[in-house]
Amino acid sequence: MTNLRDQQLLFLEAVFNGPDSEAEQMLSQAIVETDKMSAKAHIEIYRNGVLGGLTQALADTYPVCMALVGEDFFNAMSAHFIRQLPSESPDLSEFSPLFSEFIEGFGPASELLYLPDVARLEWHWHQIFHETDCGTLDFKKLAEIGDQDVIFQLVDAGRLMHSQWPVHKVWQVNQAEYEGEENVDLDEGEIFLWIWRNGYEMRLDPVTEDEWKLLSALREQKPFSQVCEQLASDDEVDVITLLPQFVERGWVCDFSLADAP
Amino acid sequence: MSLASSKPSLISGTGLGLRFEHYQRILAEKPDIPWFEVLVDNYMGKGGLPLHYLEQVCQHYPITFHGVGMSLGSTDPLNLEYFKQLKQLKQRFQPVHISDHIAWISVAHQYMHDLLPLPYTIEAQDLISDRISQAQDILGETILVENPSSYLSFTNSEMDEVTFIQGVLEKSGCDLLLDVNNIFVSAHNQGFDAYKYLDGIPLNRVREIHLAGFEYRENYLYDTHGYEVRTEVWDLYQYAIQRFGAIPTLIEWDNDVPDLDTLLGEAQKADAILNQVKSRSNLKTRAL
Ligand SMILES: [Fe+2]
Repeated sequence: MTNLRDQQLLFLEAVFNGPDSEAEQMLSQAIVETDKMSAKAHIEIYRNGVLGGLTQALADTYPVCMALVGEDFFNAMSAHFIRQLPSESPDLSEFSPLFSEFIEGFGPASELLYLPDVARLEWHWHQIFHETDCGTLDFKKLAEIGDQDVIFQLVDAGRLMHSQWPVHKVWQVNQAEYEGEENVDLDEGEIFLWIWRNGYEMRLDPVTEDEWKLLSALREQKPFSQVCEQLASDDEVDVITLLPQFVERGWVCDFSLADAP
Repeated sequence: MSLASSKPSLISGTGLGLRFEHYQRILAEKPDIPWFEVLVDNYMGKGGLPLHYLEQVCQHYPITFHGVGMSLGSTDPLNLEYFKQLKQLKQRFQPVHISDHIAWISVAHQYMHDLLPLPYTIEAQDLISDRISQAQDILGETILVENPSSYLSFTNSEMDEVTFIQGVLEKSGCDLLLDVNNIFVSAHNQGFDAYKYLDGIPLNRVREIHLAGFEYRENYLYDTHGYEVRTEVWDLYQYAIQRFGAIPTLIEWDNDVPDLDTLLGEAQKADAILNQVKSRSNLKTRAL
């Protein structure tokens, strides 16, 4: 084996496919054995470094999932995930957007029906932490536009979530600083969440179904007239009351003029 | 070929790695630390607290960028998206210099996020030198590359590590970030003489030195960056400073990050060694 490309591809396979893989056998032949250590033992150091680093990255992003299933289960689940959906970016914070989907299909975790949604919540949280910063709405400018149609802009650092389980409570009782009732009633019904960043302060706010509908419609960046029409006729959402509240809470950070029809 | 090697270093003395754990104290107390090294791969996000903190630190301290994301030794094409982001961060934060490693972290667009070894062949030397040149062209500056800790050697290697590095410096025009701890770890694991290794490093190409603590494993040493610098590494560092001069030095500590005072204690030890050399060269200057 002399070609560097082939050697690197083999290294990748040996790391991910494990010590009994064919790739490991082949790679071993290219590695010097020392008095104390076999070729395989040398490869193992790198394998542990790679898998350990990626597992740590998952533990950092999904600490509540880890608390729920325990470290051993989490590490074993991570090992499967890392092999199935490898990192594709040099930016480690972009690793594992599909962890929740993976958990949905991961047999040993199938009894924990709410676990994928907890993972989804943690991924949103992680993304919001690194999202674009937004300013605050310019009221003066808004007052000047008269009756022209506008498109309201929600903060970039905001994600909507709907779940059949109270995952926000599961999340809360697993925070280090949490004190209070430890038991969560998993059957309390569906919840709507708005996870967002107020400046640099991370927020996890349960919202009503109406608020959730309006946030969803605004997220689609439709002209406000259309948002009102859709929500008033289909869902009877009181947009005129809710919107100023959204603005006041800092959820709406900007607007632009909608194009003339 | 070298773009800016001769420019005087804007940093001196012993700096610290900038870690999230210390931001608040650094910003509140502005401790007397000559410079910080920033793990640039942690600041690739679009916004949020990390960039906000970094912005403030930069107003008070010179910084350098250090990363693994260039994957310089990979046989993949350069990840231009990464370099685009890196260049934007360079323009925004104006680091004194940017460094990465003589290693690879990705192949077939899969990232392992850990520094992986190269065989020391002409093929690998040409490949990494060419990619360093490309990186320098994109970034518009001479970069630094760091010697890795190694835990294996390849049967197809055609030269030793220091010869490999000499060739890379020559072919690419880049400079060296000399990690003295890594030399010690690799020398132990691969059975070479760390002092002879230092003798083989060209005199005017070392622009930064790293110091860190390794861990004793059953059959080898492992570079965890989770301990104080070991006595043997301080000895090797002293030798390096005598050879290369008072090169800006960094205390690296990434795992089980201790409080700032522990790091400052380590930095003081390094400064004491740097100052010995400085005062000696002052004496020499005066004698002339
Ligand atoms: Fe280093």
